[in-house]
Amino acid sequence: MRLFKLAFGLIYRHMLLHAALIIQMTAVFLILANIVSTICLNLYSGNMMKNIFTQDFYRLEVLTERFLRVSTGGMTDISEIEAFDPEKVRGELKGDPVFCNEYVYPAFFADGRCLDLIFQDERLIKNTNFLLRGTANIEASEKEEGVIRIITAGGNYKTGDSLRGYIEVEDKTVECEFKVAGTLKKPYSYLSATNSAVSLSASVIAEELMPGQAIAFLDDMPDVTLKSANDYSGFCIYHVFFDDSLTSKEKAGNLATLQKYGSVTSAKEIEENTKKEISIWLEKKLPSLIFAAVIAVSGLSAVSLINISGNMNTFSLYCLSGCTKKRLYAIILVYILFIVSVSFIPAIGVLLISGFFRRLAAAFVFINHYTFITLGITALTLILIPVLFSLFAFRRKPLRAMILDYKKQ
Amino acid sequence: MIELKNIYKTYNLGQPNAVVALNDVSLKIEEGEFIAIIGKSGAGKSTLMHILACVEDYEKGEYLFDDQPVSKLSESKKAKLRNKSIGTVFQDYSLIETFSAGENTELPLMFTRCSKKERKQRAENALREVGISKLYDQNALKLSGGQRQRAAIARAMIIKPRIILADEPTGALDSETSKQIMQLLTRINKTGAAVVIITHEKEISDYCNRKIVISDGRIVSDTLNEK
Repeated sequence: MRLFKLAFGLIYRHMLLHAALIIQMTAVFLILANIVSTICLNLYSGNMMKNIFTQDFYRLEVLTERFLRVSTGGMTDISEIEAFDPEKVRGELKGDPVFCNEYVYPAFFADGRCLDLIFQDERLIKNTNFLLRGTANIEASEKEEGVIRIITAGGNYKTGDSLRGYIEVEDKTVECEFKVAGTLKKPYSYLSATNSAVSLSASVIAEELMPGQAIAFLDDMPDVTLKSANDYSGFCIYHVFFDDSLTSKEKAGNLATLQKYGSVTSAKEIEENTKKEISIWLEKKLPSLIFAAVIAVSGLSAVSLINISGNMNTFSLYCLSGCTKKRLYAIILVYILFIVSVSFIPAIGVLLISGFFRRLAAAFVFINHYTFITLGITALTLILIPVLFSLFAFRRKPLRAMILDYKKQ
Repeated sequence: MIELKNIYKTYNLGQPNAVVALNDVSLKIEEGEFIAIIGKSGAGKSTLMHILACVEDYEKGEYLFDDQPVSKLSESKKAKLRNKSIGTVFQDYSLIETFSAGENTELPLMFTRCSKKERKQRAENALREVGISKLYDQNALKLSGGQRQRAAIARAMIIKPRIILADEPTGALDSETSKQIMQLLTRINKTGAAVVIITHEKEISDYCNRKIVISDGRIVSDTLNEK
């Protein structure tokens, strides 16, 4: 408290200057958080697919009439589009490949809660490297007869929870039992079959699972006829896993077959695009990251040095009153710590608020431990460098010189 | 209490612009003495005061405080010595502008283990002794010259020092206020603390029991004052 009072004496003298500095530092923290969170998110999206990248995985974007109408604005004359029937195409492929689409149906639970279930194939779910809460492992989740396993995001669901309810499939109501196989940590991302781009990367095909949604195991679905996502949403994107035992010739044959129906991107290409995207991001953002850090460090260092020389009289009085140099350094440390903390707190506040009300935030802010670690390291650097500068300034200044400086003022 | 033995101090030593500030200065100060150090500007008075306040080093000689060589004390021990035994008062009042008179007075106690309550109580007592007890909460900037110097003296005496070093304490004050400040220092001296005043004004030195004249870094006379 005493140190704080002595340090606050330094701030009080140049209130406006410090207010401006604090605003600048808060902005720098926010810029840094935004850059770091975006880089983290891109890295996370890549990480989410790391198991898939090692497999013979393909993303097939089928050229349906409706798909083309959407993507071309309905102006293209589409004459040679084959009607797409996944079961027929699957029959044309060698080695019984896993052919996954998304099926979205609402589920209503007995306790009044409801979720939109995104049904995915078990192989796709188990190969998605989900970030799970606790030690729950989806890999260990085994199929139980008559139970639909779900993976939730947010809400008050816990791994292992059993829920009774029903799903509405087309016009039918099917009573089911549900079991929470895992709960996701932020970001609640999953591999979606709805996004598309010219160059597919992990960040494009990763979608955010909203709190009112959950992933469900398609294999657990009761024996009801499902319409394909093609009919349901107008998009027709399939995740295809080839059997590992296929020869390369058979795989090439399968690939050629898939290419007849639409655009096919392999896991390798997605991985390459993801890496490229991250490196472009880093290339683009690193200079602003460094610039923001340099501005913050130099601003704070300059203000503390100016403040130290401007307050030499105060320091000399502290020393004459029995303050040791060590304590003087502690006062400077508290002073810089105070400025950095005051700048850091609103920045963290804004981040938390924007993370909570994500739609309010102009930029997507992905808050995870990396963001906090980076901000923490930045804050420490911001504290350390000006402190070192200040210590250097003091080391070169004997007490007598401080008193003489004071007398000159 | 204090003994200076053959102290030499040169600024910019070894350089063409070297200035000898103190040349073979020897001096003894006993408890309860009231000393005036007189000399022209540049005679070495302030250097002597800085050495006595343990803020300045010297090249040769020895400074003993209670028979302990000060040169062998660490920086923190010197700080402790300043905190416990040496009070300093300057010509320009030397108060922290952002602090109140009370907080300025408390300053030396902030570097001790003194509780907040005790600090406040002692500061109030010190301010009462210098006659400005009602100005405890008054910001230093709002005090008059005389009040500021009184607050500075209160700060010097709050630690109950064994010696108060005052560098031209009345230099910026009118004659009436100077008189009051000198009477205050005389009163403090009578409580047992040694007071060393640096001045070039004869009227001020007349308050002291002993006069030391310094010229070109040497003590040229050291006499008892006959009041």
